[in-house]
Amino acid sequence: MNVLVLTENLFQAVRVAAAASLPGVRVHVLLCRNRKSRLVMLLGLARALARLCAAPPLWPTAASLALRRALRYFPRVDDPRALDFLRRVNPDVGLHGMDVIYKPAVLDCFARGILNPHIGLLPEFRGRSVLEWSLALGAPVGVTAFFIDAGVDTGPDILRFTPVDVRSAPDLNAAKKRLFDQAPAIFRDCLKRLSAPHPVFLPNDVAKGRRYYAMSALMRDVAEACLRLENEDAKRPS
Amino acid sequence: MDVRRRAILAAALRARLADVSARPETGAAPGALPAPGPDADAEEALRRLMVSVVPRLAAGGADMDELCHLLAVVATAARPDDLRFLDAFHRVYELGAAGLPRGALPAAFHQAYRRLLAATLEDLDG
Repeated sequence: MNVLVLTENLFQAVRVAAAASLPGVRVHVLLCRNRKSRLVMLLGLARALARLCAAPPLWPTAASLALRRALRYFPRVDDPRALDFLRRVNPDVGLHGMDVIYKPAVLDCFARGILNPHIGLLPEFRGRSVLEWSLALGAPVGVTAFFIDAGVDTGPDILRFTPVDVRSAPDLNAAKKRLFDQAPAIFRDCLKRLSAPHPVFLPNDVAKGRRYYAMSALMRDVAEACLRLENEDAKRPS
Repeated sequence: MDVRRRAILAAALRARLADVSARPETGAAPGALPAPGPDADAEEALRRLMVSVVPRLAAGGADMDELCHLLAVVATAARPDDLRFLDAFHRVYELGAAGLPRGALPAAFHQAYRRLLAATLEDLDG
C-alpha cells in the first residue's frame, strides 16, 4: 500500500510516517506551507528540526524518508509540481494534516482517498469547534477517522470513532491538543484495518448530524465550564 | 443536555442578557429585523452568515442589510435543542462589542438578540 502524509509540519510528518511504517506500507511525505507565510514556515522548520534532534526514536524514519527521497516540499498542495509528485507516487491512501480543503484535482490522486482524523463524533458533529460543542452538549468526545470528500466532513465512509478521555485536561486548548496527539496512533490502526481483506466502513449519514461553526466566546466559556465539571467528576471517588 | 450543563448555560445567558439590556441601542426606538420570506432556509442562512458575512463583519466590510436579513432567518430556527442559531447572534454581538464602531450594529439586532436570549432562558428554566 502506498501511503502519503500530507502535512505543513515536518515534526508531525515524521511522527505520522513512523506510525504508518507497517509491513507492506510504503510511506511518502508531501510538506507544504499553503497559507502560512515563508517566515512562519521557516521558523516551524527550525523548531521541527530541533524537536527531531531531541527524539532519537524518530531518527530511523527521518533517515529512511531522506534516503528514499520520499519527502518533498512544495509551496501549495495544489501546485502543479505537487500534483506531478502525487501522480508519480500514485498513493492509495493519504493521511490528512493540512489546514486546507482539498480540491478535486488533489483528491483524485488517491486511489482510496484521504483519511481525516476529525476531532468530533461523526455524523453528529461536522465542521468547526466540534470539541467545544461536544463538551457543552455532553456528547462523546473523541476522534472519527473518515475519508474526505469535497464537502465539510461529509465524506461517506467512516473507518472508526476513538473515544478520548479529556477530563484531566486543564483547559480547552489542552483537551484539543490531546485529541490531535492521537492522530499517529489512529492512522496506524486505520492502515491496519485497511490492509485487512474486507475493511468495514460505517456510513457518514449527514442527515443525522449538524454542521457547526466557529464558536462564540460565550459558548466557549460554557464548554470550558463543562470541561471543569467533567474534571471534578473524574476526581470524585466512585 | 443534562441539568448541570443547562444551569451553566443559563447562567451565561443571564449574564449576557443583562449586558445586552444595558446597551443604549437595546432601549432605542423599536426596530425589527426584516421579516423572512416563507421559503427562507435557516440552515443555509446560518451557513452564509457564519462562513461569509461574519468574517467580513470582523474585517469591517459586511453589508448590514445582508447581515440583518440572514439574522432574521436564523432567528426563526433558534431553540434550546439547537444552540447554533443563537450562537450566531452571540458571535455577531461579540464582534460588535469588541471592535466595530459604536452603533455599527442596528438597534433591531440588539432588540432581536435580547428577545431570543429571554425566550431561550424561559425554555431552559421551564
